[in-house]
Amino acid sequence: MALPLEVVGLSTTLFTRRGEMKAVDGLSLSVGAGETVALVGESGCGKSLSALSIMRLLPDPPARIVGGEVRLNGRDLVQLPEEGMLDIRGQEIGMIFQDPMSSLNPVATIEKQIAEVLMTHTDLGRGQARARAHELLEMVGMPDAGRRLDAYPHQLSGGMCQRVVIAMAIACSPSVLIADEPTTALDVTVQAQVLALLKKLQADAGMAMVFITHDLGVVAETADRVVVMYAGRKVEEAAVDDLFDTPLHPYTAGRLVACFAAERG
Amino acid sequence: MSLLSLRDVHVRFNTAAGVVRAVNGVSLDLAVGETLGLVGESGCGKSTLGKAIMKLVPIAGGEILVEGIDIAPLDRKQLTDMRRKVQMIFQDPYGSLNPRSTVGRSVAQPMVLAGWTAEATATRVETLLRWVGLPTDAKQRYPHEFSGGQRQRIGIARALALSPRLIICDEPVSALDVSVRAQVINLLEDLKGEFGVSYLFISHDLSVVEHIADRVAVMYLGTLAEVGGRDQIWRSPQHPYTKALLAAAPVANPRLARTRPRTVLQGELPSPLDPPAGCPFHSRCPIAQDRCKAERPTLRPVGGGALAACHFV
Ligand SMILES: Nc1ncnc2c1ncn2[C@@H]1O[C@H](COP(=O)(O)OP(=O)(O)OP(=O)(O)O)[C@@H](O)[C@H]1O
Ligand SMILES: Nc1ncnc2c1ncn2[C@@H]1O[C@H](COP(=O)(O)OP(=O)(O)OP(=O)(O)O)[C@@H](O)[C@H]1O
Ligand code: SF4
Ligand SMILES: [Mg+2]
Ligand SMILES: [Mg+2]
Repeated sequence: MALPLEVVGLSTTLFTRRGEMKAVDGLSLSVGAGETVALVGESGCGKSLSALSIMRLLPDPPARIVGGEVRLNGRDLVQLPEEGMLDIRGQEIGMIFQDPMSSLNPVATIEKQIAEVLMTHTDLGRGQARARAHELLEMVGMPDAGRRLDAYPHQLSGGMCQRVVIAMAIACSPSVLIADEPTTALDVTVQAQVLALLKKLQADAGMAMVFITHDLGVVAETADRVVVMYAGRKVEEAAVDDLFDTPLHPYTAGRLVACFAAERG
Repeated sequence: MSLLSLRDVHVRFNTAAGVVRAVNGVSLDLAVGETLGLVGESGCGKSTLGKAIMKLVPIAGGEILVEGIDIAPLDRKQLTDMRRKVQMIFQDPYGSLNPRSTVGRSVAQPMVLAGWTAEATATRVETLLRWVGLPTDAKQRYPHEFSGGQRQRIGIARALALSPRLIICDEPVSALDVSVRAQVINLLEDLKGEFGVSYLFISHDLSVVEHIADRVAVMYLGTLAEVGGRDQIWRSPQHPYTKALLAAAPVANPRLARTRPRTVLQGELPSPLDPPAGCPFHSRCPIAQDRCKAERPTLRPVGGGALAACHFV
């Protein structure tokens, strides 16, 4: 059976006024059912553009996929027309965006935004969608979920917006979830709760996950494998324990040293 | 004299669902050249408190003094002067930048408004971009052309533009990787050493707070649970909430992470729409007693120079 996600030689180029830049350069990675692959690397190395390439949500112009394949449950998304992507996005593959506040619609209530995802991909009616939205908000640890349904994004804190975005991404139980820094705005308690929820979705439904994060504590806790990117390329891939024991690439080594130094204060 | 004094500050929002008591009686002092870490659960009112100090949201009670001057009655001109002294790095870097302005223009805006010459402004912009580790060609680009961590640094460059006395840093390094984060934190510390800049440093990342803060304030549901020296708080947290918060931090070691599950606070954060009577933490506190439901504890000394709001410590 095909793996949930197989990325092969994915290349994305930025065509800008200042010239061309290979933002993603021949990236390959695969994620099995229930597995988590952490995608790490320094700021600006191309993690978010890789994620947006997989989702076919690149800002075009200037960014365009120039080569490679993104096989979702065996089907190549790169070749799919946009109409086909509309059915798949949010349904078969979900994404949690790095910038939660700007990925929400400022003039629609939280309920409306979650219900819209549900009503596009399922046959739930308005009332059922509202009930399900309520349930999803509770699952992501939104305090006072019932009353938050009618709030607008600006009335929520940073961490609350992030939880709304997570709720939207998992609303239709996608088989693959791309999570781009999904817990940066969450305190440690809510973060633990959200990570536990994602793990549960993986155990119950075999959800495959690509997890982009700067937080090595989170990598240690959630990832099975780690892919390290540098300047658009994959420079290392290892099982999480091996990476923490014997990092190979100098970039990885430097990062881990910095991290442990910070841990020890 | 304190650089910043908060006296029993309240902030309320009227919403369709009722009145949100986002900040519910906070008193704090910040000295010149001091870094105060502000931590607490998501939604407890940290950003709102920061915005109140910037006069971006109105206060419903109490006083905010900057260098001894009450900011409430300031007129436009005085407010402009105040904003030169007090700057904020916003939690949402993208939303706080004008998408139609190049980064060069956004970062230059404070200097232009302050009447700097074009030449001085241009030099300053280059310095600022270099400080935060952005390439100089960043000037001609627009905010959407940057990665998350790069955008966060644009916000930092802009906040530093006019050498403010106080910078409210709202999750300033959350999108930065370890090495860039270290660079930005060193920069903030250098500015503090050189110019005596003070910081109100809001962060969920406790290891960053432990590194940078002189003192730490722990917030819960719009109120302060505990305030004290960093070492004091880390070595012997007194308030039950502070203890729970510190115990929930993740560890950067996969084997340890699997064998030592994080202790997580049970129950949910009560609603700021109708905060519980008595101690705001009583619904989740492991040592709560009857008195906690009736009587709200006030901050009082608990040894080691720290203050905590709990009847039983
Ligand atoms: N729309 C765009 N136009 C031009 N350049 C862009 C655009 N989007 C991203 N870039 C550039 O592409 C590179 C990769 O960006 P990307 O957002 O993938 O980084 P990232 O690895 O996610 O970084 P971070 O950890 O800071 O979020 C960066 O150098 C960025 O400046
Ligand atoms: N404009 C607003 N209208 C209504 N309610 C608001 C508004 N701004 C904030 N709130 C509410 O005030 C409370 C405190 O929000 P705030 O943004 O200060 O939290 P925070 O501590 O910064 O959280 P986070 O760590 O998630 O960023 C929340 O319950 C939030 O929903
Ligand atoms: S006052 Fe009571 S409920 Fe509040 S923290 Fe102390 S023991 Fe817990
Ligand atoms: Mg990114
Ligand atoms: Mg906030």
